[in-house]
Amino acid sequence: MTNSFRTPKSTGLCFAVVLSALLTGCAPSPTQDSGEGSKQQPATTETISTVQPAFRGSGTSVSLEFRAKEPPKDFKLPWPDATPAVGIETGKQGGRFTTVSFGEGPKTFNPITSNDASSAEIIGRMFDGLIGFNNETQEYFPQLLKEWYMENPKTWILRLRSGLKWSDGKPITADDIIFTMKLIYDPQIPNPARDSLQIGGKPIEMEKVDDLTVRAKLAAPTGVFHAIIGIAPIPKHIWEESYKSGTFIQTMNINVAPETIVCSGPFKLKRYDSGERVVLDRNTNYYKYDKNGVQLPYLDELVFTYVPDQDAMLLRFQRGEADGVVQLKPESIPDMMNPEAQKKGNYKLYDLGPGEGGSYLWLNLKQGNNKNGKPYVNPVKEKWFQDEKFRKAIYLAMDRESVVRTELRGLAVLTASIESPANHFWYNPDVVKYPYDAKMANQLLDEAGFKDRDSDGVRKDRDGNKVSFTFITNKGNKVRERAATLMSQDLAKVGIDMRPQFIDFNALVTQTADTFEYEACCLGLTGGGIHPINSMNVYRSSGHTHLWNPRQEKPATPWESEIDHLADEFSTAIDIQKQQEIYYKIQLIVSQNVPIFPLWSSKIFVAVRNGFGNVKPTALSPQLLWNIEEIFVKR
Amino acid sequence: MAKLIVKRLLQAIPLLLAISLVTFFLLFHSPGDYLGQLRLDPRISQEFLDREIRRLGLDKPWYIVWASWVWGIVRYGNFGHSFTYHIPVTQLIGARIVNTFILAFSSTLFAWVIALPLGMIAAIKKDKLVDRLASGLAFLGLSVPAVLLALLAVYVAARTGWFPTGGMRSNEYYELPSAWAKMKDVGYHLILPTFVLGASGIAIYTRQMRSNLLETLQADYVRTAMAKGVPRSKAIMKHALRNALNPLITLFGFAFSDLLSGAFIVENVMAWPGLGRTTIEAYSSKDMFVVAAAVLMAAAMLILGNLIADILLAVNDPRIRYD
Repeated sequence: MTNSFRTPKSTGLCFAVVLSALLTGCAPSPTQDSGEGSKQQPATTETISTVQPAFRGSGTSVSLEFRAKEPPKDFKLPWPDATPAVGIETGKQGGRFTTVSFGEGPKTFNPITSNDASSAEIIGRMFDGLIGFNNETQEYFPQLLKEWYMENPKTWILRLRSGLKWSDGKPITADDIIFTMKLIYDPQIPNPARDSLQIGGKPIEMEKVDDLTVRAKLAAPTGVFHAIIGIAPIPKHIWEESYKSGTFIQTMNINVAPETIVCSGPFKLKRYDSGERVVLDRNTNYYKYDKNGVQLPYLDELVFTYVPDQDAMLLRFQRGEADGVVQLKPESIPDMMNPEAQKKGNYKLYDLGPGEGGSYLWLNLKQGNNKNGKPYVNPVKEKWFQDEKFRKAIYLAMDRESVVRTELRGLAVLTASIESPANHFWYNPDVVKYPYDAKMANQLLDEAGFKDRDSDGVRKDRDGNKVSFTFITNKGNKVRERAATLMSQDLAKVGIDMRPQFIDFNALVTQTADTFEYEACCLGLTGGGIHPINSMNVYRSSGHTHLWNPRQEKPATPWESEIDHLADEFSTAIDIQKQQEIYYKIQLIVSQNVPIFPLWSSKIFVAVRNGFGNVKPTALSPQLLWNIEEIFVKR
Repeated sequence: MAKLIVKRLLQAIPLLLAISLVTFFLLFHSPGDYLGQLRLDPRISQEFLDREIRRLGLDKPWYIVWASWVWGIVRYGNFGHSFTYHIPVTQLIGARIVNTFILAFSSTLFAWVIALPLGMIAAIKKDKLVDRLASGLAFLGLSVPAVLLALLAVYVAARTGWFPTGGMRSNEYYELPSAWAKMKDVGYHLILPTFVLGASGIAIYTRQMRSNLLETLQADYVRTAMAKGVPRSKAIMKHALRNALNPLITLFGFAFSDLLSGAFIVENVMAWPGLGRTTIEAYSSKDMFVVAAAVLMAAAMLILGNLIADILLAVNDPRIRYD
């Protein structure tokens, strides 16, 4: 969510867009993970091969740099630096694509200040990043840039394509990049990108080389520059004045005249009907062309419509009032999947496998007292929770497979790492797994001294306290409630009384991230991207999203200390294979010490009406719209 | 009359102040705040959160925030900025409240246009088939909750395709050639929500109209009029009806605010882009000033509704004086 279009796929897990994924992945909620936002260019096999492996990264899916290359011979581009749309089915200009999602729609069209998913989904179609991310191949590629490379370990060159124009016809230049970076670093302008754009704890210095070239000076060498620098510039000639007068925050809001939003992406704003729809139309200055010399995007218009809930969303799609829909309720999937229904409704349902998000359960591992001298966790329970055997036993006792099979209708996969399996390059498949094993759980609990001494079905610890605690989870749909109940029953079978407590999402955030007064928590967290650099705050013991024990002054355990060292190493490692090794190791250490129980990751389903070309939905968000400029109306 | 209006408006001020005070108290004392979402985002630093808390004034006590909000309204007519939308609350609400009004207005009109004649006929043809039918209809309208009716309406729309399943405008709205075609488009989208929202009103007004008219029909002055040879229809229209209307007008005053809350439900089920949805969204994201302004608006509406009812009463019944 958080402006990821500016740092395309620069993030591992985004825990911000939480709610909707909880357990079922689909509770209606105020914010959605409907679109992640980065304006990404398409899957083009050609582009992939042009990525020059800079270091040892050869053969991996991620490269640090990209050097300009001759365009393919069979393309007649209007100017040499225009982007060839390689490897796509060619189409004709015209037509309209309508999507429907639930919620109130965008909050702003300002790419700097926006921090919600529904805004990012639209802004991502209107503003291209310097560097893009191909959802299909999970590769970075030059978007507005023609090339980017390292001059020496601490300076990098960013070079724009020549001939790029804003939607108002003015050229896109190095000044725009520098201006945008200045805004991002200005503390007066609240924006979530600033924290990501720090290297060695310092901002990146930008220096203009010529009209198209910028030199970036870093405080330390890094191997993640490409993952964070993909910001979407905004036009300096339009916004400099409002920036100087201090009114920039209010610009590009939902009430402005559409034509005042000058942008660089395939579409520009045409109309906004509050709570109903956003209409984008073709940016005639877009820089991408297909083999036949046809300028992209193919579509004349892209329409986003909004309804209050998922049922209404499905209805709109079924009535033919929308061409594409992403966040389907699991309950509706079996019917939607029916081949007859697909034929009759003239659509195709794509099963894209597990998404970026997942559901997790963790015990509160915070030790000590709060400001008022009250312990965060009852000291009796604190002792249990700190016991690794106790944690392993709980994880082993949960029959997650049954929950997924029954309550989630089989529409999820079990997970073992915080990282999602959808993240092909960074996900470690070889972490320690804890499949359902009640026998083992019983054995571990016996070993740790938790025994049912009076045969009432509930174990007691060595001091005779009943092993009983609650886990909080956010209020929502029935599926989630039943899943929580099932897990609670599983634990009862091994003599542990673990009860769900359903509370308001806001209350849950306060308890887990602020006051730390809770015993355990179960939450669905939605992924926001690919690169682990920014999810390091989850792994670092000092991180405020180190879910099970945030904001530690010094690492509470030796293994958390080891992860801290690895996280430091990760951001300075220049070798991508090395980075992968480090991140694998971090995931492994977490799984060995089980501070958090990854439960499952819901599958992503996308339904698209037949009759459109280049439809290539992916499990990563924005699932359907990431290559929208290539999608065309057939016939 | 002018005196009444001024008096009522003055009385409204402390009431509105109290309501907004309670709203702020509740907003600050319910768990969580606007930054809840951001707190779980690993990309955002604690410093950023702290800076936002200061910028939005969330570090101040609730009564200070309330007081400065009220001062802003009194002094500058400024209802505050929306945290999420970065625009003045009035702009945000303004766009939506018009839509809610369109819906509320059309359903009131619908209810009255159907209910008054129906109630009259039922009263005149007391205990006849028409009366029975009208009563049955009224009970049905009263006993079916708006939510259910709304869901039913959406279902019918989805099944038959006769009506849109929701929304206020079709996707082609802006390509329509004339203002008339555009009005027709909105009107077409209005049919079902109007019906759903108006249904309970029809029931109430029909019953009320019937019993009021029955009462006045038996009043001495009506009998006298008829005995003097005034035709029955004239006696009903000129004498009985006018007197029967008074309680209905009072009812209208309250219904005005009911209509807004009813509209919230209908908006949510039928995807009508009104104020209700914005308010609910603002509440769940703790967008404080938007919620406060919306609550204030609803309260003001209730007061205004009652005032209008009082004025109408005086217009309808010359015996009522507010001096």
